[in-house]
Amino acid sequence: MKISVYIILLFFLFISCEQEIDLALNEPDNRLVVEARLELPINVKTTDQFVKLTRINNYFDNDASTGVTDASVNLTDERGIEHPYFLVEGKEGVYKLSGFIPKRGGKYILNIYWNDAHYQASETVVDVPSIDSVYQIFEAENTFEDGGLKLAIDFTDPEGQSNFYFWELYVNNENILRVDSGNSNNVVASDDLFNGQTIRGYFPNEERVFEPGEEVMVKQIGLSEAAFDFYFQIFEQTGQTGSFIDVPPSKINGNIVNLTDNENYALGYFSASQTDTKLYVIQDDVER
Amino acid sequence: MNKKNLILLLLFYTQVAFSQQKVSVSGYIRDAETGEDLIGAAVYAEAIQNGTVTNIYGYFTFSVPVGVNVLRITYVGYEPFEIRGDFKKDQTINIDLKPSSEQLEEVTVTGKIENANISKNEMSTIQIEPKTIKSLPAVLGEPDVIKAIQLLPGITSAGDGASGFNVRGGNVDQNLILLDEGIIYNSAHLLGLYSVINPDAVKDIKLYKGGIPAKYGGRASSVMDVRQKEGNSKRLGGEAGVGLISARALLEGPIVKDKSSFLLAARRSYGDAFLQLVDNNNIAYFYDLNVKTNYKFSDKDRVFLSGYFGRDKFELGSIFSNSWGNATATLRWNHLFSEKLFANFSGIYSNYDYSLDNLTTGSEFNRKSNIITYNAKADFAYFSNDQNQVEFGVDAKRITFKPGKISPIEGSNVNVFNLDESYATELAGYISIDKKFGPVSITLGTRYSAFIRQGEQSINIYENNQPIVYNANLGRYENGTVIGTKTYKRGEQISFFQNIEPRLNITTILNSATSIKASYNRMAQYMQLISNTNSPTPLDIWTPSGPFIKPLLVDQVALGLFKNFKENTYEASVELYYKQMQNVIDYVDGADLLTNNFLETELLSGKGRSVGLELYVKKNTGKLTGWISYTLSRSEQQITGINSLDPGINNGEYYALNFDKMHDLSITSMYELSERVFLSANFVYATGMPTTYPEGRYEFANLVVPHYGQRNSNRLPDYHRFDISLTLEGKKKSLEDGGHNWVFGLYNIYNRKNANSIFFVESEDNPGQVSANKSYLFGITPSIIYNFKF
Repeated sequence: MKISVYIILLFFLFISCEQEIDLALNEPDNRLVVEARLELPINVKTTDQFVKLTRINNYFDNDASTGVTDASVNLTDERGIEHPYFLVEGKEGVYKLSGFIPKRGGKYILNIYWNDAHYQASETVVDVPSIDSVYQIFEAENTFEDGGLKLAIDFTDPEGQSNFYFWELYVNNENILRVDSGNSNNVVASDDLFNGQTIRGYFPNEERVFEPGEEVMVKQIGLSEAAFDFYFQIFEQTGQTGSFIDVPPSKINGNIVNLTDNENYALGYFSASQTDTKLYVIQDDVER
Repeated sequence: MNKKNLILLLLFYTQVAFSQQKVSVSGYIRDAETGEDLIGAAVYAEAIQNGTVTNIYGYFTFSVPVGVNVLRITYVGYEPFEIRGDFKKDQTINIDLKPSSEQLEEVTVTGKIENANISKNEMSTIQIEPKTIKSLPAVLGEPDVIKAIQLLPGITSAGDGASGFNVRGGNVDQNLILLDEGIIYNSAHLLGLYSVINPDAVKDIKLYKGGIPAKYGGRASSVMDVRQKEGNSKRLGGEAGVGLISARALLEGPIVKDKSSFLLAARRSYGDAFLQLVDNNNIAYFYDLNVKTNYKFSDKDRVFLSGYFGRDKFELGSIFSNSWGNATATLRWNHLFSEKLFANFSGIYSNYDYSLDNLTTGSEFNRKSNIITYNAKADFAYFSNDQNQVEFGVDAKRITFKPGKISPIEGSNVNVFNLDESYATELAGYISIDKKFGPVSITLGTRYSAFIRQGEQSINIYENNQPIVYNANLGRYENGTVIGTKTYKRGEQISFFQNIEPRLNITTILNSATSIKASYNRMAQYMQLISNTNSPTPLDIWTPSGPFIKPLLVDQVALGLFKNFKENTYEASVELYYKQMQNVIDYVDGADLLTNNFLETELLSGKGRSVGLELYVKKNTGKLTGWISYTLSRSEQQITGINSLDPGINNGEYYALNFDKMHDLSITSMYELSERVFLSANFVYATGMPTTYPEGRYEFANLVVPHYGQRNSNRLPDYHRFDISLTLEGKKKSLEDGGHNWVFGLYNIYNRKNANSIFFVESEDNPGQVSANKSYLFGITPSIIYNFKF
């Protein structure tokens, strides 16, 4: 709901103009960025876990390679056993833990050793309900969205508990999320307003118009409240519109602790989530 | 209890100071053609070289020595008036002043003009006439009070199109905006492009930036007291205007001649004329309605009833619809207990509401919020003699805050969600004494204010009484641990605050053209607008002081030199002010404020300060009139952590407020080319506003995320623009013909793209590529307006 509120104010877009400008910015400190999620897929026996480590870079440096390849990464499970991740060849900064299934509700600790510092984050695996169904809806063009075929899902929110959702959509194994001021609205959701209900016709990505024949994988991901706050801020801060109703720019704090020197913080987040995945092939739009 | 004794003592004191050899003269001063009371008209007695001005109801009282006296009555834009008489006992004189015709204005240039700016014991005030506002170049030609006052020293805003205004480093929510005493909670139409005050319907706008009189309270930085016209009590008439944005019309006239009159004014913008919306289902407009009527039972008793109703509506096809608006109603009774004791009793209702309908299929809901105020007050002015006057009064408010209720509409299954309502009672009493010691005038006042936050409400109890805690490991603020909840019954006291707010003004007249003034005021504010957008929006939530948010306290001292040149043709002033703010609040990074019942978990408090130098030169008469205003200032705040080890905001160091501008210059001029052709021009220059730039970027969730540095540590490019407008007055066909005119305007003539903000985004089409973009509102903008009177 906080979202719709946000949309309203896009009003300003209609009367303001934009122009790209040149600007000199300060250079950042050398900081570690962690993007990690421990996944527990529903009804899947085994899976690989990934951690992506990158460095912060100059804001306007569009082409620099930022992958961190000289870190050592492991996961500590509830019994204190360490499971090492290994760098994936050809994918800069991606580390893999093969064939590891976390436990529901289990608490896991991610350890990263880099640049003489020990970084750590811990998270408990958060449940998610399964996707009831995936289908397509033709949405007419409106002020905010292009018209066309959109992917919709139904899901049933569990009663009597707070749930937070995040959706990823993949086409040809590629994450199709693009920057958009509406992301904080669609791509993550809290059940504040729909606790315990079945949600029908939800667009986990309202921006993308699909073509018949495209095979889409929808991943529904459970988030903790802290992880939701983090993702929400990521989408808010990347979706600035230049209007007065933007939230003011701010640093986004994640859950990675630098145990060696807490002033030299790392960015990013380690989440642990149950996930549900469904495939859908976009059909010709016969109804029209 | 002590306070009551104090008041009695002071009253007694002013009684015994009575002078035996003088008689009092009192009465109303009015416009001869419309019967409107004139506010601030000067009455001057030659014999004693002293005078007074009419109060906000047009009433004056004054004393002169027994015997022959000459009284001179002057008011800008009116023919001066003289009365010669033998004054033997107290008397009442009502005076009708004739508006000066254009020819006579030439004469007044050489004649003597009042020097009220020198002699009056008040400083840091701004008075702007609706006539001046209408002659200034404006965005799309729409005359606007709040845009006009920003051309004066000490007033800024957070950019073109930001709502509200900032006075001497105070936030937008620190301005008390009164429309016929009714509190206006949101002064913006179309999210800040225009303001809710219709310049046709008002006769007097006065803004206090400092030296705020004791009768005002409740906001920390300024008071904008707007008085609506009473309506012409002599004849039926009106005026209307048609512009690019809106049309306005006003009708006024007598109900019972010279006893009762009415005023009805309306404005409405044209739908979506200037929003180039593709879809015909989209709606965006505002309207407002001003009504007023009064009845004079006698010269001792008058009753006024006035109302304002304004609304903005914005609807986007089948996605959402929202509307917001202020409504106020004021019933006032002026009563003269004697010529010396003037009283006003008011009952005021004010309601600000905001409503949003989300029309997205499947999750239709309505969100509604209100803030409702019932206000009763009594104000007295006791005139003892021309050396001693006292004002006193009481004020009681009952305020209900309804921050939001969400309910399903159109059969959707959205859950009902309620943000807690809050209730409060605000009480105040004040006394203010004016004394003159030869050339020195002193006004010493004090206001006592109390704020009682009441149930019914449940308040969280936090571990160590800390609703927000710092997590040093993660470098962020987190919600405190709730260890319980206390439920307060309806009417039960949750928190109690009280403050003594001293006010002082001193004026020393050095000669008829020079004076030095000084002032001090303390202001307490018991509700704040919590916002985490760059400029306030209608959604922002007014939050009362309570267990976790303390009242905002501001102390301000100001010193000024006032000097007039060439027989008051030029008036000039230099003012220096310093302001300290306690208990200012700011949100922590990433705060979620909109649907949060526990705002205390997102806010930190600290202190603020503002220092400034304001220069002002105004030319009052002649073919060329206008002013130059320059402000050099710095406004900043410091938010330290809860414990000494927390970083607070920006490591606990002072940082610039959003609207801080070091240099702010306006040059405004109006030139009379001929009797019927007037040219106006504005030039504005200001230092760019504070903003926050990224220090770097990183990738997350398939997006490029900017990594921002310290809050407000960068600046937008400087702001400047030049505007002109041309007014062509039509020929009057007869004396009754009210006249008509055309106003042509060109805003931002050299088409400077002044940045409203600079924002950083990744390209939608080329993921991974980023750019810095500035957004700006108005390039060169032409306008045309047609006005006529009947």
